[in-house]
Amino acid sequence: MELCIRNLTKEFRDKRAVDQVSLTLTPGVWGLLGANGAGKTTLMRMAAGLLVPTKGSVEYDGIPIGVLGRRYRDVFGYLPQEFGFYPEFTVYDYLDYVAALKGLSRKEAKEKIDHLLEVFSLADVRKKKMVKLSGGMKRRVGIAQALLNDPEVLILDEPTSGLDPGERVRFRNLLSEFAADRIVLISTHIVSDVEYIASQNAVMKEGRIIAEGTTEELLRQMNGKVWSAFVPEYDLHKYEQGVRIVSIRNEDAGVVSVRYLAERPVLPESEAKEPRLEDLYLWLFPQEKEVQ
Amino acid sequence: MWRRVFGAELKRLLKTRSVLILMAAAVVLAPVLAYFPASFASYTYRDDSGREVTAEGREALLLERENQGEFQGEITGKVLTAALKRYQDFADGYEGGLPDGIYDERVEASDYYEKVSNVDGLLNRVNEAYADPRTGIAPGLDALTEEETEGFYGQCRQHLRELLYLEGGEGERTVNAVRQAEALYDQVKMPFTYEPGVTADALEYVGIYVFLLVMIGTFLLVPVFASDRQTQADQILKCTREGKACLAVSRILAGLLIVAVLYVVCMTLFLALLNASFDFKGLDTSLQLLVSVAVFLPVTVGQMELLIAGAGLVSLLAVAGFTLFLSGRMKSVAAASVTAFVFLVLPVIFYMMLGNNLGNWIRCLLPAGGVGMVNSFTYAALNTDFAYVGNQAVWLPCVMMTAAAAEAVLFTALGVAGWCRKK
Repeated sequence: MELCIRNLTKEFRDKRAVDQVSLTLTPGVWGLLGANGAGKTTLMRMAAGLLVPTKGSVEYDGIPIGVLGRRYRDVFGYLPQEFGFYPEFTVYDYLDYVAALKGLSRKEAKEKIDHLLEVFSLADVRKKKMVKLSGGMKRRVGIAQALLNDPEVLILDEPTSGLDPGERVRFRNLLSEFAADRIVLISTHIVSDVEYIASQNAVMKEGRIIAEGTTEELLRQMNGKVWSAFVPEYDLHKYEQGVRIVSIRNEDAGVVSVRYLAERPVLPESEAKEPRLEDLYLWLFPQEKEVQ
Repeated sequence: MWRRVFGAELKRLLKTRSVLILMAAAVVLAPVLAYFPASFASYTYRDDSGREVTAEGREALLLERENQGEFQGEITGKVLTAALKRYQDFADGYEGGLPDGIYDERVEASDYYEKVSNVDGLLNRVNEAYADPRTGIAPGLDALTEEETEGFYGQCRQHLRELLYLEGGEGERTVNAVRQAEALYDQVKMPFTYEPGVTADALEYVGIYVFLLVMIGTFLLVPVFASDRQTQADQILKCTREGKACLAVSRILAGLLIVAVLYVVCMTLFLALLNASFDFKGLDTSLQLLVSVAVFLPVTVGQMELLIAGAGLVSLLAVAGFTLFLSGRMKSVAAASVTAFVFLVLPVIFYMMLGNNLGNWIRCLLPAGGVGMVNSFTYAALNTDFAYVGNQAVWLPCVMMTAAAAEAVLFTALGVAGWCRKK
């Protein structure tokens, strides 16, 4: 089972959003990292068959997805970054509606929906109107709809935005379990989401894949670039101008602990640190900082 | 699976608040609009104390019906002659007659209603039939003779021919128009039938209600596809097994079914209430007596109501198909609503701004060509206007209905294609 993305390019009027991207996705969780505007969503929409590539192709088990048509849809689940719903529908109505479109009979749909409502802790709100759900709940309903047909290929665009930390952990665990024999592609700029569960990662910048590999492989290039040091608080502003600071933590009075990125130690008495995926992300995307 | 998707889509639409509100509005409008035409009726009489009293609405209709006497049922030449005599006797009662007809200031309302209101409408048709072929001006009731009332039915066909030549001018294309009009006129049942009660206002209100129902249908269907594009709900739907052609067809059929059923139910209710407020017997009246002797549709008032309602349904399906097509093309509900509304009123704009042959073609070919406040199928069917291609003449209602039927199918297909189209 593999989803092969070959030389995929998408050009809009005055912009090349995705530029010659090639990836071969095999079972497991794939993290697609990149700053906003890197081309992640465009790439995913082409993999979902929603956008026609300017060049290149997407093939599932060697067959272009356009040729597979409904057979691809049968094994495909998708959660876009933003998605609309029908305000008058209850959670159950909405999932039943999508289940009908996914070709599930009423009986199959009921069983599957009941199961997913339990898994995503939505059973209590099954009769609640979608419009009255919190952002996190709507997101969970969105993820549930993507899983209705037990997809072999699951593409999730920013699935954890809006989820609280507890929900994110539950979601990660569920996904790890689910991805054992399936292809799951997650796009996010919340690095910690994929750090623990992604078996492979691809990093996109300006429409191109600039790095690809397991988390360990990617982190190898950060060895010797992550440092920490204690600095006086009043000097912090000065150091902020010179080095790329990942995090700051208050220690004793007037002293802060700083984790920073640099080719060599810059601050006095710096100590080398074990790199994390977040460090790599900030190294590659200096303007982006993890918010959550 | 088609049934499951269709059912899901039907449920979705019927749960949408805007759909429910518009459906309720359509139903509420039926009794409101049905009330008006009969409410316009008035009848003035003298009470026992000799005071003039004006009855209105249903009471006026009842009095009018009572007063109609011998001048109802089959209106033969003899009946028309008797009507003329009644009028002439009435006019002779005034010094110097009534050169200005009933509008003479000496004629009191109660006298008019009690003595000649029952023959006025009939004689106006005779008057119309003897209009001057060069000017189209009628001679006036005072100038009518017994020979003319006796020969009324022979003159009707002649008048139609003269009117068409007056409007279309001499030439091959008018000959074609006359041929078609006369072919239809030959099927008109003569002598005409008159049953008191119903007025021409009733037909106008059927047309108005058709227009309002089509407008409601338009706004009901505008969000069907456009709202999903606006909220990006379409991205999930299009990634599902049945989310393309099957969903598009189901959506269009569900939308069309809802507006069609709504239309049939509301129109049935409206016609029942409207005709009950007059009298169902009035539906047997010949259209030519109620509107004009030059109407060449061989139908009664009741049949005309059904014809307008039927034509309205065809127009509704065309407009609905077009609206759904637009809905699939537009990225926002607001943009789709504005565009749909513009296309809905475009025929009336063409009617008012471009009254020539080209204007006739354009407005009749538009999906909403058969509906409107002044340019609808109702008016076209009661009129003698033709559209021309070279020397060929096509009666406007035929253009409207043929175009609407074709567009209903065409835009349905385009709507499906538009939804399935990838970017």
